[in-house]
Amino acid sequence: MAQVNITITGVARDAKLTWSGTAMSLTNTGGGNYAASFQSAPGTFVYSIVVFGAPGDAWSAKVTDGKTTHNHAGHMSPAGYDTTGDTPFTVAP
Amino acid sequence: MKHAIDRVSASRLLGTHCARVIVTCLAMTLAGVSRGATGATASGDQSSGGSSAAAADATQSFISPLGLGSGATVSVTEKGATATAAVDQQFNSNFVNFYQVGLSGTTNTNGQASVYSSTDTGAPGFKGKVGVGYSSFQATYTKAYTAAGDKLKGEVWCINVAARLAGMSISTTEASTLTSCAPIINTAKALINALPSGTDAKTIASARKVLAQLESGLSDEAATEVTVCKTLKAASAEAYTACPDSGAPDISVEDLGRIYTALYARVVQPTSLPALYYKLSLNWSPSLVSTDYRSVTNSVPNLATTEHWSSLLNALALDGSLYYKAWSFGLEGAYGKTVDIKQQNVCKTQTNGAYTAQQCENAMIGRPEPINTASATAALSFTPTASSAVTRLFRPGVELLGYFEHPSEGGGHKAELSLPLYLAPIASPLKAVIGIQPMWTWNNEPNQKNDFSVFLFVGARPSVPN
Repeated sequence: MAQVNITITGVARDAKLTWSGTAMSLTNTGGGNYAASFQSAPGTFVYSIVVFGAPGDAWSAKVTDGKTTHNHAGHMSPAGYDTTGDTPFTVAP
Repeated sequence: MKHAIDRVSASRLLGTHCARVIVTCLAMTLAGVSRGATGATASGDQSSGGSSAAAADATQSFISPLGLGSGATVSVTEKGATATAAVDQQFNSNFVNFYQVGLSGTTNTNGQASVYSSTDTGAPGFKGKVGVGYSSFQATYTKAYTAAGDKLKGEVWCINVAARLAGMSISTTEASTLTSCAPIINTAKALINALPSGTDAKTIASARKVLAQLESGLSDEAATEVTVCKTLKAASAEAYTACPDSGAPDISVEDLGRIYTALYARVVQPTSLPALYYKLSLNWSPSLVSTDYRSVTNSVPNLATTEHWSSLLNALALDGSLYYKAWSFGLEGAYGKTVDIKQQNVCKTQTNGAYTAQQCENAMIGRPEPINTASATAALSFTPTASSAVTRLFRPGVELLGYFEHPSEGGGHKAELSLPLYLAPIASPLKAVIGIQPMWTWNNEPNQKNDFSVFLFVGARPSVPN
């Protein structure tokens, strides 16, 4: 099992995390920051992050298991949302 | 997936800025410092996050319908210092999908209870707010949107890899007209076929092999990406930078959509999410109010005996908020107990010849009597989009906050209208905020006056450790 840590910053309104098809709880740590941490078996999983905020807001996210790290960055759409899209992540054994 | 398109062009295209609205006094966050390390590619203002306004109230006002948010706030006004800490947490459920818990304590400059009303800016001492609610943010169906985002990113990844294999440069104008990766693959193949005979055969073979893989995987670029990236590092170091494990930041779907407009319109637009969201919550709001008082018997106060009165006043509040693009609007209706505490100096006078000495303390004459009260709060905030040089450095904000309270007895009412204006440096890791807040108060209580005051506020809001 590996520890997967996800941090999201710059999210004004809300964030939504889906990991391997399951909606995961994110903790709002204040100031537009969200975080999740959980144990995962090795293998390849698909995750997605959807963020909601004011139009044009910059946001970023980091997904890591300690060996592999994905860094995401973007700006909210004119309607106030953005996403990483479905993204594969391989959790190391 | 990584899409390291022409970053200079991307910066120009994506260089939108975010201005933010904050409600009343002070609230900002220490968090967000990792953004500089993680998101420097899409544009130069990645550090701007600054999301303290959030879907929640930036000052964690207990009467605001915009919610408490997570974190801690310390504010200092003429009425004393207030410390507030709150946590909100989402969870998966069809009906109730978030809760919030907040606590605050206030003392005025003399440590006295000397103010009227149950508003958070007025009542001293302990206050709490515990509620559960439903957020449409969490309930929104996003599966099709994220899948379409994956498709878009796969296409863009394919475009980038094919272009880099052939040494092509794609202009932003050209990028905006592309609707798939196929034309770039064809162009790349033609360019590689036209390479001079002296070119390294192994390099050409590797490039052709990858292009063939891209071409055969056009229906599922994401799967192709996983396959191709395993061998791409050896085939082309430059093209490998578009792969997930290369360490390059991954540009989001909406940022890519601003560059690949035609591709976005074809792939993502049909699955776009709604622009309107809402939150509803039901909250219990207890307030602890205490004061010294002198009892009154038959209209005669017993000034010599100090008595202490303390009570937990309960209220129930229903909050609703709407979020549409740059606008946030919230309404709160509450019903519960409030108390009118009017203190005055009670002095013990000692006389010794021609001299007198006084020992005075604040106390209410008569025991406080809580009464039921109904209150309503409305908040409207707007987040302007930054466009000038000034607003690229500082984000201005403004919010209109109105409050009305009508006790069930006495016929009095109290109304407040405040208009906080603030300026916060976009790049500040401390998320410092400074501003002024004019506040108008109308009160038809006989012993209360109408009031106009202007607060200067400055502060920072540390985040709750995860």
